[in-house]
Amino acid sequence: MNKAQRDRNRKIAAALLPSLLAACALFGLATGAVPIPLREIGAALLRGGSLEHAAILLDVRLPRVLIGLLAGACLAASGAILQGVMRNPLADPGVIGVSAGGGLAAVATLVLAPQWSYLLPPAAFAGALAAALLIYGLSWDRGASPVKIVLAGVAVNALFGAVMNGIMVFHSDRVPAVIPWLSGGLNGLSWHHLRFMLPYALSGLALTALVPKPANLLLLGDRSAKLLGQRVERQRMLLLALAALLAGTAVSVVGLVGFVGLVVPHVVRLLIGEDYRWLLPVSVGAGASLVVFADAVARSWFDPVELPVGILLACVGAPFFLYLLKKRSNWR
Amino acid sequence: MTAIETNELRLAAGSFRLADATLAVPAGQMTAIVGPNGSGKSTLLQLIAGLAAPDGGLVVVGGKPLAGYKRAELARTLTLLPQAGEPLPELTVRELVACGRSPYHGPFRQRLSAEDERAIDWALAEMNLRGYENRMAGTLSGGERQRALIAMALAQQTGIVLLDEPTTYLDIAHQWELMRVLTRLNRDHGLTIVMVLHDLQQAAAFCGHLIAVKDGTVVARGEPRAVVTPHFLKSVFDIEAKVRFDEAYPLIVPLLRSGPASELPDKEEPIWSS
Repeated sequence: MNKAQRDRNRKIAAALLPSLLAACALFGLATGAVPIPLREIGAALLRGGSLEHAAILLDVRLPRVLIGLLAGACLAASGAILQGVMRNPLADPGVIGVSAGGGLAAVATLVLAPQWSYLLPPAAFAGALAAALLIYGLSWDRGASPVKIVLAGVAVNALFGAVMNGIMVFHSDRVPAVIPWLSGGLNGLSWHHLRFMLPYALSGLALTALVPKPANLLLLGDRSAKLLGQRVERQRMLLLALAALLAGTAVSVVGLVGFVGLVVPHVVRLLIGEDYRWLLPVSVGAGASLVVFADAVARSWFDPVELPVGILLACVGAPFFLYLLKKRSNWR
Repeated sequence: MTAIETNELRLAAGSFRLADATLAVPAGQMTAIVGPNGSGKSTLLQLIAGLAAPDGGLVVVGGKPLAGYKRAELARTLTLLPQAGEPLPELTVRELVACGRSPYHGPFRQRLSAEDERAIDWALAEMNLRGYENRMAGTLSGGERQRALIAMALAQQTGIVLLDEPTTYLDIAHQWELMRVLTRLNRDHGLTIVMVLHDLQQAAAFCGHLIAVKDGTVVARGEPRAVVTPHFLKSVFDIEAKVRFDEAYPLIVPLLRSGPASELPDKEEPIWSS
């Protein structure tokens, strides 16, 4: 990619992204078991139109679309930050234990203490952050290098995964309750889920405004960043904490939706370059659009089954990712 | 005037040992650090640049101990061009050079001031990169990449620039070109330049001050003519050679009677299996 192509792609992205976001949100509101015509959406949102449609929109679709937007934005931002900070194109929220920690906490809550299942989001959130913290602590030795974080992450993921599977084996009768969460989806989410995640998601996304400069300089390598006056260890720690907060927020409510954090920043990087001033906001917008769009497809195409959006994203995302790997020769 | 002093610097890392390295780098001059492979030249530079912490001893930069510097403040005082670089991010050459301005901004600000732009323009011009500023850094050749990284270091506008083996991967034309540019920067802007060099002849020809390191200790320092002697070559590199100066350029002629060749094992008859 040369500068002219990159700059053109940036202009296109800046021009198209807002309309893409709006279109996906409208598509998400209109699609479902009861299709709602676009012109009714505006009327229903303003407390007009048919009562039935207004109820579906306000009680079911609107919170679901908003959660999808936030979750997609958080996952994509988290992945974009991690890929830079870890200097590893394969980094995604799983690397820092967010999935394993959140998964273990979710399974423990739903299987061992089903009477407390309403505590799932905060429990998964705490589990995700605790695992990230554990991995960071284990890899610390006068600073934590990306390689050590990845190795500690593999070990912690294996351990948490084993415990999680152990719990499910001993309580196999209660496993069906966790399957939707483990596959990752927006099924049955409502306003109180949104209320739980909103403060964390908004503060996390607001903090991403501080990411571009330190993240850009970390791309030059630790040594160069230090020589340019950056306090590399502290910045890496803070950026990882932010990535864990973002991914933990998303995972706590929508479950283990993979691939958004891996693929979206990747594709965006191919199109508009690595500069975080562009990469981060465009990834956020693209991730939000993708999750809402995919969820609308997942719940309408397989009617009467509502396919969890995580399954659809992985099924489409994995081959697409492999295609990108093949196509791009100057991979590093 | 000394730009950098180290006092009894010690570091043990694995099997490597830096023992009581004491040196002084004169301000406004070009200094070369020479010595055998593994003698501690690069380690010295890293310690001076604050990339690693010594086990003991002191580094003083501009009259102030290194420990008294904040990271950003140090980045406005000295910088280092590391040896083999990491892959460059997908930035244009100009954007890469602009990274050199970050020590002058807060931790989050990226907008460039008019002064920043002037410094970037100057650095690009000094390294003869004006025609390259919109090229993507990843598409540069080895020599161009080296120049771009030096331009980034120049944009930092530090009074001291350290270079770790800047000529190692360049052909002789690019080596000389680089040396000429560094000499000009030193002469026109009073830049203090310290570099690790393997080529003793270049070191002597272009640098007014040599520091020789062996086994983690500074063993000789001074003007090239005083340092580069047969005795020095024997004691530091363990080679027998004659030295003759052609103006500033020393000719180092190996004496082939002795030396490593005679220590080769006796030639054995090849064994053929049938």
